[in-house]
Amino acid sequence: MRTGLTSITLFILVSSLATPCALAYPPDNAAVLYYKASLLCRVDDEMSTDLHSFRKDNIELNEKIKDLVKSNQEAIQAVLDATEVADCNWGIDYSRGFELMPPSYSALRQLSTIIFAEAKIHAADGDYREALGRCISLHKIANHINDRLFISHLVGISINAIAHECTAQILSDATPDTETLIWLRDQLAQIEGLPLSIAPALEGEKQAGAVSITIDKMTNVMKVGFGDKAFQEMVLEKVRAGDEMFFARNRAAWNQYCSDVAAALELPYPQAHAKLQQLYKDCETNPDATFMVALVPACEKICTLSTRSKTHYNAIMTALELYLIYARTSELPDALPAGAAGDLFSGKPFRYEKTDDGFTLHCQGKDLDKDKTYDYAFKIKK
Amino acid sequence: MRSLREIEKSVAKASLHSDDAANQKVLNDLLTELDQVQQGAPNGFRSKWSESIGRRRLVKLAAAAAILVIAALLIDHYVRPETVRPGSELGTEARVETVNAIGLSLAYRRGGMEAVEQQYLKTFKNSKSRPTRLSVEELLTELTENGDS
Repeated sequence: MRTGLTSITLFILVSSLATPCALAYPPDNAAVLYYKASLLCRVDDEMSTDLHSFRKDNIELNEKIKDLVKSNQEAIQAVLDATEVADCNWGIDYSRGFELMPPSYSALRQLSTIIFAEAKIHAADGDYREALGRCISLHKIANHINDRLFISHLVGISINAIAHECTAQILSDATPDTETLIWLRDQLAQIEGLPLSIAPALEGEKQAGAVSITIDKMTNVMKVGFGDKAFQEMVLEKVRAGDEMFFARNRAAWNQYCSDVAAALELPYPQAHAKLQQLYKDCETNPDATFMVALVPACEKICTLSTRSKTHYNAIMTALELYLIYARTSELPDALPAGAAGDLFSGKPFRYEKTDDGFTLHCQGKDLDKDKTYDYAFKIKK
Repeated sequence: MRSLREIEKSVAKASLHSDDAANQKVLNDLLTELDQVQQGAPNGFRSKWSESIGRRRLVKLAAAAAILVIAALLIDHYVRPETVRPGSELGTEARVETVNAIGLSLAYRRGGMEAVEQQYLKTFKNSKSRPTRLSVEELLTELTENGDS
């Protein structure tokens, strides 16, 4: 009797505790809110072009952009709420291998551009803390998107680039303030997985290959999205003619390739780039690498983009230290602070140059795909 | 009063819209009338108008109208970008599978993030499934009309 009463009491207690949890907002999965925001987001083609131009600093902030941000407040709020949720399960069925359907990255990029615009509006109103908060949110979106696919990693990097541009522009517009700068530095340091790692994507692609490189699945896979129809037909012929051994050898080659890419990415950038180029060339002459040649994106380019993103992040972190020194002393130092994060293209510190209106951090190594070096200019509002 | 040049500009900028069903109906009506006039079959239309408009003139008019409508239908069918015909290049490209993992990956390989965006645009451009507004009254009306409630 006593046990029965205890059980009932426990049941009521658990039920009363469980109900509010089930109805709690935000939900414990950020993806729900991102999907909601994607449904609520409204941007026509003309405004989409304007937003892009605004982001590239080709047009000034105008009333149309302000109206667009205003009319998308519900979507923006859903995204901001999502960024405060740690877990993000997009509901992707990874067992479908290459044929899995990812979330609409286009909508998420669109939303990120709107949040960039909102940050700039806050900055124009003098609310720099709020504006920089949006940059932090953009980093969190990128982190949530960076998943088990090359494409999700690339989309994550592209949103990080928006966040970096936004942060640099706002820091250049605002009068350096110690409290805000320390807050921003702490916020950035707290974001787990920043700068973004390509490791989950590599692991995911490896497993996708194990699922999809089979007689049953490859015909379907190869029918999608080829620009070069003749090349597609050539690969399809190989798929149709392939026996079990052919597919087994291709699976093993895919697996090895992903492992080799992962190992190459651990090397310093110039060596990693050279190694990845070599790996791809080897695929072209490897009879067991039919699907790699057909499907793999140029990994050396992904390596370059990843390095560029991490270098830009380092430039922002180094700039923050310089802004902090300026905020405390009203002067820029003559040299970079010890231990400042460096340029990952060369593995060396940035070359630091004081300019008339602020400072510039120069990379010492080149982007080997574009044969150019990057410079990050920051202004100081006096 | 607007100048001739302004009128010309307005006309040049103006776009004409008609849907397939309306075009088809106009075409069918005209072809029926043409057929009737050519056969000389007596009907209300003929008896009313044949007194004021000569038979040959009516035939010419109907034939010209029919040609215009056929031309409009053909242009509409082949030129209108939103039309996705099964089996056509656009139809193939617009399948939802083109934005799966490998589809996006290949798009990126072709032209970077811009190509990925284009792939989404091609696939979802015609998607008009999102209602801008839905009221309880509208839902109740719809359910009542369908006999679902």
